[in-house]
Formats: sequence, C-alpha cells, structure tokens
Amino acid sequence: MVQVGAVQRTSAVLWAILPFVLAMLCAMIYVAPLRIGGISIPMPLFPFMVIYFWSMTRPVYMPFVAIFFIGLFQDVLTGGPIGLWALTYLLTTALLSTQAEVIAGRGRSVMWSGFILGVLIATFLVWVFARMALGPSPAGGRLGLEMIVTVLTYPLVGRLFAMVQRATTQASRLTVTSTMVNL
Amino acid sequence: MAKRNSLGIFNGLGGPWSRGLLVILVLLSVALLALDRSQPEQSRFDMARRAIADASKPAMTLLSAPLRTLNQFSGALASNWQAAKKVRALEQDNHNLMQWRDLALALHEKMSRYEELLGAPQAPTPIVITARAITDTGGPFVRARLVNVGSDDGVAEGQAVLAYNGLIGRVMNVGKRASRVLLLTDLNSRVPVYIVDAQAHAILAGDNSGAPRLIYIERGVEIEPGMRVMTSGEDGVLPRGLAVGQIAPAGGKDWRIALFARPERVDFVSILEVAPIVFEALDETENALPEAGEAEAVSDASPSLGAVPGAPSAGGQ
Repeated sequence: MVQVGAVQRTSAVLWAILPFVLAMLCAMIYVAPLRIGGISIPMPLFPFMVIYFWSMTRPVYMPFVAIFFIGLFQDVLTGGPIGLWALTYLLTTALLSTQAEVIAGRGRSVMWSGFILGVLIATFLVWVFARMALGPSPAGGRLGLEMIVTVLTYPLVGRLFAMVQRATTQASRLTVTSTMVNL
Repeated sequence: MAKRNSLGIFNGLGGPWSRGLLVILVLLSVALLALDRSQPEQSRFDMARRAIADASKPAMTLLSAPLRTLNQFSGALASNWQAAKKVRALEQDNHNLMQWRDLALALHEKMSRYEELLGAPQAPTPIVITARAITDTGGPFVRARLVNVGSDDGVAEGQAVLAYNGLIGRVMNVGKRASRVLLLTDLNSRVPVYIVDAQAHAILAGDNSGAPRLIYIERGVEIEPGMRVMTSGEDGVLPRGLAVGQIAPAGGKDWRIALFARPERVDFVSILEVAPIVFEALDETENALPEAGEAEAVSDASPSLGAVPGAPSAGGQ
C-alpha cells in the first residue's frame, strides 16, 4: 500500500505540473521565428491560452505562482522589461477568475467568448504597462495583430488542450488502477 | 468544472491565502518592472537573461527547426511565383554591379598605391562570426533576437551584427552559448551615423517601427530622400563605414531611414569581432579644438570598416 501511495503521488505531481511545463514550452514557441513568404507573422500568445484554459477548467493546476513564473519566463525570453507579462497575466487571470463560474463548463463557444474578453483585458493592461515602462512607441499595430491571431487560433488550440486534459485524467486513473492490480 | 464556494465575486480567486499570494505576486511584478526600467542600459537582470538564454538555446534551436523549414518552403513558393520577373531584375542588377565592381577594383588599386606611398599601416581584417537567429523579434514591445553563438565563440557585448546587405544591430547581452542582439529598430537602440551625401552626423534612434528615426542632425544640413547612411563610429563601439540604409521619403516631421537589411527577415547574421575603441585621456594640446581645416582632415582620417581594429586614428584608440 505504501508503494501504491508513492506511485499515486508521483503520478499526481507529474500531471499537476504538466500545464506549467506546457505553458513554458508555449512561451518558447511564442518567440520562435515564423515567416510565410518572407513576411514575419506574429505568433499567437500561446502561454496565455494555457493559463486561461487551466485557470477556467482546473484552477488548482494553474496557481498564481505558476502564472507569475510563466510571465517572467516570457519576459526573459523576449528580452522585454522584466515583470511586464507576469503582471499582465496575473491581473487578467485574477479578473477572469471572478467570472469562472459563468465561463467554465458551458461549452466551447462560451469558453471562446471568455477568452476574447481575456485577450481584450490583457491587451489593454499590457499596453498601459508598456507605455508606463517604455514610453510611447508605435507597437499598437503589431500588438493588435498578435491579439487577433491569438483569438482566431484559440478554438483549435483549446480543443487540443481539452484532449490533453482528458488524456491526462484517464492516464492518471489508469496508473493508479494498474498499480493496484499488480500488487 | 472548478469547485468553488459561494462567497461573492471573489470566489474564483480562492481562499484568503491565495488572495494574499496574488497581492504579493502583483506587488513583486511591479517592483521587478520598476527595478528593470530604472537602469535599462545595464539591467540588474542581465545575468538571469544570460543564464536563461544559454539554458533555452538547445530547446529553441529544436523548436525553430520545423518553423524554419516552413519559412524556407513558403519563401521558395513565393520566390518561384515571380521567378521570371525576378530573373529580369537580377540580370539588370548584375549588369550594374559589374560596372561597380570594375570601379571598386580600380579605386582599390589606387588606394593601395597611396597607402604604400604614405606608409599607412595595414588594417587587420576583422574576424567574422556567423550565427543563426533562433528567436523572433520578441513580441510587440521589443526588437531583439537571440542568436546561437556566445562568449565561447568569441562574441562580446557591443559587436556589430550584419546581414549580407547591411547593419541590423549590435550584441546586447552575451551568454556562453547564446547572445541577444538589439536591433536598430528597438526603442532602446541609439547608433551614431553619418549621412554620406550630406556629410552630416546624426543619431539613428529606433522606436519599434520598421524605419528608425534620425535625431540630432547637424544644423543647416540639406537632407534629401535616397541619401546613403552609414555608421560614423563615434560611439567607439561600432566601426565606421557599415552600411545602414538610406533616407526614406519624408512622411511626417521626422526623417526616417529605410534600412538596407530588414532585421525581422534575417536568419543568418555575421558578427564582427572587433575590439571596441578605447578613448584615452588626451592632454591639453590634443584636447584643443582643431581649426576649420584640421577638422575636415580629422573627419577624413577616421577609420573605415576594415581599418578600425588597432589602426591609429585622430580619435585616439
């Protein structure tokens, strides 16, 4: 029974950190160079998609500490001001979390609508913080384009996240069951 | 669905511990942002940036590989789309360049003779480090790219970064195996430049747009669109004579530069391994302002691209 407990705990920890690891990976994809036909295409804000999805569906797997470190990692990777995205993600998620009961578990279209709201809040906040930290700069066009790409990509990426979540839940159950049967 | 209690609109934020933690993390983020921006030129977090750039280099190289293939494939498709038109333009370019090559060879021969007659010291050829960009420009607020070479490869802060057709930026942050390049278009980029046709000095200031602004232009200088701009080397960091771009048609109150090399489109870059110019303290006689005639001579004696490392100049090295 001790072994069962250990396996169960290890398995639980692994599944629990998966969203965080996924968000870190997404931060790296976000800064990867993408050009189509020689034109630079803005990458969707993948880390925010991970944060939003798990904050709404399984907030216990996306605590504020994790969100803070995801934002910091993105700040360091992009070479931008440290704390800019961390602050934006924390405040946006905090605001969205107050509406989680309205958004979560009511179908994909509601999730997408909530995401659009989140993107609007994040865009506004990051724009204000960037202006305060960097001064006026003509980055509005690029930011707007990036957010549009993010909103349009979410339905597909959100579906992938839902598949990952289902798979991890099933795998978690299977690990425990098979361990108990072997013993 | 998330399990929540019914204590009002702040339910989603969790219990008191979670809310307290949120407040602490928000305050911490604000403090980090303020600390980082208090000294943007030499951030307190440079060490963390270097360490994370080094650590993430293998993953970034791996992640950018499939995207690079996609970029190359789409680039090839777009290129083939207008192949015939491009071939005609290239033939015309080639014809013009052949004439320029003959002129350059003749001038090189002439200059070598003059240098021989004057006994001018031969400038060492700068060492070029070839690197590959492994990240994009860094989101809406930053124009910087990570390259896959670092101090182990001889890269140092301040070195010039070039594409095949011109300067794109300078090395800002150096890790052991990766470095961050600050592009000319970034908000924090300031590069002293020389407008060749107007014989005027100015500062090239990035503002996150595609075409950086020219500021602090010498007074009384007539500037026209199409004039060539190169580095002046007056900062003692970048060598003189690196091609930057040309004056863009005036679209507002500022003069802007159409860069020869588009930094966001560049995959491979060359980093010039040149020693930064150290300005030694000048004594009073050397410190005195030159006469009008001398000033012209001083300007002409400034080192060119090939002549910067180690070559004596009027600025003192």
